[in-house]
Amino acid sequence: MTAERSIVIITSDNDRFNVERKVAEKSLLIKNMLKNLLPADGEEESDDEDQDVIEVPTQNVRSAVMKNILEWCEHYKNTDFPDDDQEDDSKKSAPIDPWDKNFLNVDQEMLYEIILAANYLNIKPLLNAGCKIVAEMIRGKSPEEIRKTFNIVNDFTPEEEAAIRRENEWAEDR
Amino acid sequence: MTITEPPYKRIKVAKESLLVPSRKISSLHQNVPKHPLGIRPLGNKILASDEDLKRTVQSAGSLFNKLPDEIILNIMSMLDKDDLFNISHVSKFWYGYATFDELWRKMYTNKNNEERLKSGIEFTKWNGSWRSSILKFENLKFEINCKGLIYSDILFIPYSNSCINYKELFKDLIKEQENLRDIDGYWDSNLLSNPSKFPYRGRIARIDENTFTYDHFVNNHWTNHPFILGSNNTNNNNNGNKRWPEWDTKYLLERFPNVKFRQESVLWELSLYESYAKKNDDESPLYLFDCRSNAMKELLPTGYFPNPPIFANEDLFKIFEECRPDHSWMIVGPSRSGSTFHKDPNSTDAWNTILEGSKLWIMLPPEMKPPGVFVSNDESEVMSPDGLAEWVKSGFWNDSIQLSDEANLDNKIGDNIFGSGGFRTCVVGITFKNECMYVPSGWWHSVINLDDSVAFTSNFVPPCKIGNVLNFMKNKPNQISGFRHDLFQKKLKEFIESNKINDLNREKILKQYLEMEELGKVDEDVGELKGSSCMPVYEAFIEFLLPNGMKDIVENGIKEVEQKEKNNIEKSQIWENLTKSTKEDATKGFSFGFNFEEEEEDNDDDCNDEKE
Repeated sequence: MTAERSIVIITSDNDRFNVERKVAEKSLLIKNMLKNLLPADGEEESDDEDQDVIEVPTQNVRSAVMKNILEWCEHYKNTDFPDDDQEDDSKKSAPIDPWDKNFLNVDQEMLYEIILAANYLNIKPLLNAGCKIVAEMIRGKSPEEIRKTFNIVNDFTPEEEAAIRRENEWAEDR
Repeated sequence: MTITEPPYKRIKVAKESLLVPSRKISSLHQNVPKHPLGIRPLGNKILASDEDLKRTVQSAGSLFNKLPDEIILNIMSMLDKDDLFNISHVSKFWYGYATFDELWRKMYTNKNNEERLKSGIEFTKWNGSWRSSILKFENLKFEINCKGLIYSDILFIPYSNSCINYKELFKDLIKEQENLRDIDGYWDSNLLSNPSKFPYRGRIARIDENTFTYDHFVNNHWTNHPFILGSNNTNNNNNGNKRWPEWDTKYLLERFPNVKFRQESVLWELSLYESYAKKNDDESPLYLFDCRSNAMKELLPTGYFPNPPIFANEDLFKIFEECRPDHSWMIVGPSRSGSTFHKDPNSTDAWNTILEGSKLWIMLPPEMKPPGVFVSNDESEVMSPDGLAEWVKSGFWNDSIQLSDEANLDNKIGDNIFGSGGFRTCVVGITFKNECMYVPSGWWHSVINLDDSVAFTSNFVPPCKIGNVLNFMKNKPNQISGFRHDLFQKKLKEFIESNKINDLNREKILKQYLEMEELGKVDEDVGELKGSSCMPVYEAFIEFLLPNGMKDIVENGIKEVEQKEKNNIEKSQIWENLTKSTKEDATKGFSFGFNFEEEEEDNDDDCNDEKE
């Protein structure tokens, strides 16, 4: 019988985070990895009894981002998200959870890094929340406002501008 | 079991093989089309200039420049019509992504009628793309040039796949199949005492319907091999009596222009579907697959096709009456539409007659696995590449045709080895107008429409194949589909009131089921719901048949099931022993592969009910 081995997540900048298995398993990537490393309870662990720490390297995520990710995982550690790959329209149109909204109230750079990390670590509900926040930043805005928000250069040629005006006129006529 | 060759006139067989040595496509990627917006595949990014890359960053903006395609599109899929339209006017980059038609198609098809009306995306006129139709843009054509700015497989590949030209890719096979039809002709069924007599291995045999009897079907092993029925006399000209109705697109449009037909998740008038079918860039075009429209009620007043092929005359599933799963369909689809690999539902047989156009069939026996398709062990899960074009382009057509070509080259195959390796393998064929394909239960099949096609298809259970169906119902109850609890319970109640149940155990199961009241409230099609596995379809099927003079057939069927179950147990024991000995050997320092002859006729199960 061994005590539960602790899990250490190592970030790209070599920071180490000690985490509970339940928290780490919010990431399906890590969950699947642990499934192979740690057999279910009660199974023999003959080979590497001396190794009581499992290190999980995450080369794509830096420490500052991981701290946020783990905060999210900690918050939801007792929540069961139905794991489905299916595209569910109702889930997409559901409003963002207020806690998530507050949690993701960060600058664009951090938001981008959280989204990418959630994608890499396969944390669907977090990825989904991140996408919703971005969709929120777009919704109801004019093209000009969107350009300002994301620092975009309008690169349409004059002919293309004219074509776009025609599309707009059509849209308004309806 | 075999019929010695009777003195019928020998039909003409070409001297040399009509088959060209290989049907492999060597030019899968020869014609890469130009994307109308100038979007290029991701691999081309390596050739982009620094200047272009800088332009991309400016056009995409700080955040979107760095996000992967899937995430960009996921974000955009959360937007409604007005926002998605709006953002296409932000910049070239945003235009390229926000006009991706797959986004607009999903916005439409993921919603039901009511939601579409509410969100203002319903349309009655097709304007060439989902976006133009939803936004009601008529004849609004202009070009935004995103050349050098967008490198994306997700945007490029669907478009590229939508440009696939099957008639060009398969031109040798089409020629060969026309020759088999016109030069070799339809075989006198008396000459094909079993499927291995057909000399063109790896191809689907063509049989003269006028010579084909139910006896041939049952006793010559055709119940377990696909074949095409046609006629040398009436197929290629229009004189004489017509075997099949002339229900082509033109006829249907004239007779039912405003009748709504089912096309996957939408229900469109035929005229709307026709304009969609004529022009769209969808990777997998919507497929009309209809069994309940008013048009079908008019075309088939009895619910059944009046003059089916002889093997489908007797259909045991008729015993289910109103609670029978849907069985007869009209299928209309443009070229490029079709279905990926599947088995037909409930282990039923099917026939499929082309009334217009042509279809390419790729078929594999139940015990094989189709190339390029993931199949779970119990076959409840089947995963194919997205769409037929992707399957072909990824080389899986070539893998399949190689199996088929190898069967043809195998000279060792003699006349008396029906069922041995090499013969039961991937077979391909094209059905043309007025040809009827027989799809045996459990056979994998994928179908590609080479032209705009209209077909009529029907699922049925001939008495000689009751064993397959009973085995499926008994041993794969969670894969039974198409029965509805409400109708099933109604029929069962009525039956029990006026009939004695023949078997105590079955009686108990059937009555228990009827007591599950909450099931009666489910009125949607519950084929896929969890509850369907508790439906005693197996018991009911047997009991419904018994008082109808089917005692012998049912008893034979039950015996067959018992035999199959026994074989399965033996097989798993053999397997266990074999793997055990392999393990033991492995511990001694080496391992080896072993040959294990698969049973030929089990595995007739259903995976999903996608249609050809």
